[in-house]
Amino acid sequence: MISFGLIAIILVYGLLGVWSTSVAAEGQYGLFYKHLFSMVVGLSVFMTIRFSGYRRLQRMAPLLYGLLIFLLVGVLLWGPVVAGSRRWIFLGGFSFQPSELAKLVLTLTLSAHLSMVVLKRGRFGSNALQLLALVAHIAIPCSLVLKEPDLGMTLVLLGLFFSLLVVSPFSFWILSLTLMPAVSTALFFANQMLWQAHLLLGAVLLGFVALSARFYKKQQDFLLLMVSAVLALNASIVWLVQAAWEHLQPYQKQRILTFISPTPDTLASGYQVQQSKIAVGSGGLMGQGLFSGSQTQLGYVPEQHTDFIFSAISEETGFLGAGFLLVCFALLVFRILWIGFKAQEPQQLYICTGVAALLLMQLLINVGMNLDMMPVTGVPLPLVSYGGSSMLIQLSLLGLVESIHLKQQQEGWLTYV
Amino acid sequence: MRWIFPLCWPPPPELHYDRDPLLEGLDTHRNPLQFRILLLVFVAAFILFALLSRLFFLQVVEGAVYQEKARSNRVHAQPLLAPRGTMYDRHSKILASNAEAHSIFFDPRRLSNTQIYKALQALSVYLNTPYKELRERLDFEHLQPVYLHHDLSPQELARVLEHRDQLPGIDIVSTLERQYPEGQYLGHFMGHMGQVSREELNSEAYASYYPGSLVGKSGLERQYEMFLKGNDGKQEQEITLDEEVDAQTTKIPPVPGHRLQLTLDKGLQKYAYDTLKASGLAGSIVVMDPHNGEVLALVSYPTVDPNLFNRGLTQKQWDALKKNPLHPFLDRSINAYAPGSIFKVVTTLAALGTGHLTADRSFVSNGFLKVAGHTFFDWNRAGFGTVNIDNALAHSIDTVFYELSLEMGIEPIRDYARLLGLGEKTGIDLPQEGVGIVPDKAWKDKYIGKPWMPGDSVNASIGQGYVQMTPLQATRMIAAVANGGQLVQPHLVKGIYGPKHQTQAYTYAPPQRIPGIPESHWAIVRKGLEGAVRYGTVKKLGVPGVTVAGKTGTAETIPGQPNHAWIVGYAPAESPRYAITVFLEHGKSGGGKAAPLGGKILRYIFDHEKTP
Repeated sequence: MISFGLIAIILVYGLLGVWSTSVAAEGQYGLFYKHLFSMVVGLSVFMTIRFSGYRRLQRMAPLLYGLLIFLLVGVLLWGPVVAGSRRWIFLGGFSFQPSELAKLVLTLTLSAHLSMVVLKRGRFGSNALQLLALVAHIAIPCSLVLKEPDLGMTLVLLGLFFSLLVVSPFSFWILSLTLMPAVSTALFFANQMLWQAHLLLGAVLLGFVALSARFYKKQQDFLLLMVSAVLALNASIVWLVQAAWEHLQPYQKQRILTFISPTPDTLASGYQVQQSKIAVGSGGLMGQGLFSGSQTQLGYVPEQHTDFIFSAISEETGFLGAGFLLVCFALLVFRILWIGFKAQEPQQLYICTGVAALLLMQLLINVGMNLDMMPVTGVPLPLVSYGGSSMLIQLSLLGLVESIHLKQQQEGWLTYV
Repeated sequence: MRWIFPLCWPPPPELHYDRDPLLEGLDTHRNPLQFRILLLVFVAAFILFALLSRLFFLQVVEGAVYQEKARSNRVHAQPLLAPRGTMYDRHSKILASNAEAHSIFFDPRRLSNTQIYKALQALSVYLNTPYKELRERLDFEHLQPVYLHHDLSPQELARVLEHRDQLPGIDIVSTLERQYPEGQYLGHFMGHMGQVSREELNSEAYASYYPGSLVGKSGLERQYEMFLKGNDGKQEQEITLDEEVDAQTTKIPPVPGHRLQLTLDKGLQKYAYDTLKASGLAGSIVVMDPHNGEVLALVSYPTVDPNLFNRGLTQKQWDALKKNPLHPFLDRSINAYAPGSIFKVVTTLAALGTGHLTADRSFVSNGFLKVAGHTFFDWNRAGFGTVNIDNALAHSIDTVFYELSLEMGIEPIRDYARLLGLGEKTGIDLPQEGVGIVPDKAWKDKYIGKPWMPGDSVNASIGQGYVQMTPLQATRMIAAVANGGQLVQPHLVKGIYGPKHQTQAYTYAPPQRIPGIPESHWAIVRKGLEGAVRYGTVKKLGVPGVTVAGKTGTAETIPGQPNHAWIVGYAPAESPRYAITVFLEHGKSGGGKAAPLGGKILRYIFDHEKTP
């Protein structure tokens, strides 16, 4: 019941937000009714999945993956260009975003894939191949989504993948070999001092391991080798990236930058963020009152019923209202992780981790851009933003978690801890 | 299920729920990996805490700042520009007024970069103005409303109105803009209007101006900008959420600028301009009251019509003006030139002052004088025989002044030139003026880098060589001769009147008596100048029934170019009311070309004196 309560509260926020930005501000009931409709459909899908169970869906994983790839390729080939990108499929009066479907399908297929992974001690080649298969699994849909272009969704999907890797049986070493260079590169561009410090720390650790090996007279050659390899990889990847970047022609650099961030109209998004920040800030502690925030009601924030709905909620309900919404999201995430922690089988763990990671990533990117902490990438606020695809998929994902919870309750999880 | 979906995997094996965990131990069942989910719990807690604290910072800590920003978002402010103060001549005839015009007001604050770009691109096509020029009027660091274009022509207005949908953020506003009914006659001293520049906006004096609005750029318009401007008002509309009231309007009415009465005589100014224009030569005419420095006419030909500047000159107009060999942008009334023989007034006073010259000293004029092996010729190589200083001034006999300069050297000439206000600003109420050159040994050493030669003194004595003065300085000098030795401050503005007819205190320096020159010396000079009109070189300056005094000047310029022609004079000689200077650039001869012009103007003045 806790989940139902939390989901209901968040959905009510969404209803109020969409009412405020569409009906109250523009006198248009259409958006609100559509939102209500997709919510009802979403809730029925939620209940269906909850009672039919995640296993049934997971068995269809290969089929779903094929369908997803087909849709993603299809939208690139035949999708109309809306606001500079191809994200939508229009079918008989309904529009749908295949990239939203990717969230559900990849959660199912990746958790199925991961639960089949069998790692064996000392068989490095086979283990690496399995990891490579996983990387290919995520890379194909991700590159298709990025091609749309939809940077925000790509980031969300990568967040899903890395969160799943964290709880997967891949050994710490392999994890560090993939994650550490990425972290290291990011660190290098974020703060050179920190980057040098982490290399230094690694070197000190290496020395410590070597000393202890000598002291305990143990054979730790493999460990030493691995630590050195990680350090060398970290350093060399940064140098390689930097050297490669410097050797690129200016137009090639521009091409890469445009690919990573496809909206050149930075001032337009700057204006959005500026107005969104004003809306959030003017909410104060108590808010301007429902349907009476001037930024929201006078339409100063573009896209306010979708990506910038959090700014409308913040303006009209203040820190108490918006903060409570964030707390509800936090409780929902923790609850999903708790259900994952109680997993009876690997799939349960992976699905819960995936759903929590997706929720968290979207929350971070969307609320972050509303508060001017993150760049503007079109990621909706789950369960709150207007948008049928997002609502449907988000409720389906929560339905999966609830079906796991139901199974755990039916079979009594306590006995299996 | 499997036959519907051949691709599906077989159902996973069911868990063995019948096993007793207490018997087999916890570790066999618990997947140790799920403890790693704790890592995600920490990450989630960190992210949510970060978002929550950012929210707290924006809403609670800085809430007031953003509430103010939200308020200014709701307010739609429109400037109500103050009408600029009008200008009248001394007989209250209008010189500068305002006319209704249409301008383009652009508010880019709610537009994206692309929209701004598109709007400016479209506008540059409809207005036939380079896109770059429009873009430069915007400050992209701090976007704020700006006047993009002034004084739209009817065609431009029609084009812009027709394509309004392509021009987001653009408003056509009607404003009062400067108009000069007699544009070209007012020449350089009136100055012109232009869009306020970025540097000006950043200075304190222009802090209250709207970007892109028109301000005085030169001449009187710039000099008296702070009086003429008035105070802009504004109309603020705060958009409310109340459906009953559309908007709360607050209005601050504009305060019109001060009116300026000029010392100018519009009729005389026009006549002088037309006369000079008819001569076909570039030059300047100055007519001034010798007692108080009120300038009655200040002409420099050719000029540029100041009405053209409101909307800005087009490239074509610029090119045409730049190519004009007479350089219309040059204000000749305050630009310094070699004065020629009108400088003999200074030499005479210096010689009298130093005792080298007395009224009864006589000179022999042979037509030339040899100085250190070099022969300096008189303009009349036949010579005049035995003469005194009266004849020397009247006939402008160069050799007399050669002799005097050799006797006294350059220093007295320099000192008396400075006493007569040469080599310094006249103090006229214009933003810029030339100071001319009064050379001496130190000056030549500094600027030419050569020692002073006796020949330099000889040249200087007749206003050749290095000496330079502006027509305005020449007028001030001759005014001092006319009024008995007082230096006046020339000025163009007679009075400044506020919006409620109150007078603005604005005074000029009273005439300053030149120290150390006795009345008898001035009388000698005046006698010589009267003779010059009666029987000497400036006969053509004469007016029937009026005694006129004057002096010609013909100054050599660049070799191969005709000489500059000057006359200075005043009338009536017994009690002077007018001081006049005519300067013709490359006019060949002072007596032949400049004097007839001066004569015409003096005749016009005395004809119209009774019936203004």
